[in-house]
Amino acid sequence: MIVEEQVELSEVFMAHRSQLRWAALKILGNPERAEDVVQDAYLKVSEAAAVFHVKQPVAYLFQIVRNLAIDHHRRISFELNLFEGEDDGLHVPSPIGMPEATVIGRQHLKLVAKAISELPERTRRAFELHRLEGQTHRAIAAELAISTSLVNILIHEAIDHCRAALQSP
Amino acid sequence: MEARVQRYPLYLFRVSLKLRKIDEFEDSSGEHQGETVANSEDQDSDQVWHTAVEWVIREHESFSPAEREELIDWLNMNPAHRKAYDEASRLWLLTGLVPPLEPPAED
Repeated sequence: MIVEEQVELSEVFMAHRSQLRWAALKILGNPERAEDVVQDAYLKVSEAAAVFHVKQPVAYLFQIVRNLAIDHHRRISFELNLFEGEDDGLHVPSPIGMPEATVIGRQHLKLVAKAISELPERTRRAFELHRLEGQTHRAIAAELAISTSLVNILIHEAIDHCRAALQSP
Repeated sequence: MEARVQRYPLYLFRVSLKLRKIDEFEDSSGEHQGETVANSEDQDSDQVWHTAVEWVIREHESFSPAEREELIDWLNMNPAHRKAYDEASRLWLLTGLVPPLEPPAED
């Protein structure tokens, strides 16, 4: 069953590859980087597909590519800025360890998914709206009828819970 | 350290209390093994983690060039900051790969 799902999601990926690449290109503005992001997304999605049953694969794939493209975009300008700091003799880690190169372990994915599923309903919802749907604190606060500061607290709680799950498997 | 103090006075002012605590701990390492020091270290590391997560959250919402500068200053201030930030970023990446829980109706 796991193998079947992985093949299935990979097929969906390949069927939408050019659209996914276009989505990355719109964010990054650079065809080579867009291609890097799509390849990276493919690897990560392959891992994720072995762990999760994704019910809306197309939306999921676009979400992953967009997330990775935004991260990639942010990282590049960010690492360039860190490099500038080296002139001052500050010790800055090399930018080789980009998150794109991070190996995603299936075990870690399982633990994080389990941790998210254990969250109280409101916390989980706030986190999903923030992390998966990219909504702002303000929008989440309006949807859940809570304050923006509580939204922030709930997101922190969700991340802390995931961290604890990884630290003590 | 002096150069950084001169370069980033506003931010250092804001966290000067915390930095002083870390410096005291480092200066006295090996001499004070008491509970007070250990607890203070735990609190500092909780605070660093919380700040790192807050940066990761903020940079995914709206991130001005000024905020970016502030983040870079914070990262360059202490290797522990960079470590916590990298861990938070990695966790962020992992959570983004988890599909949303399906509503029961779809099962």
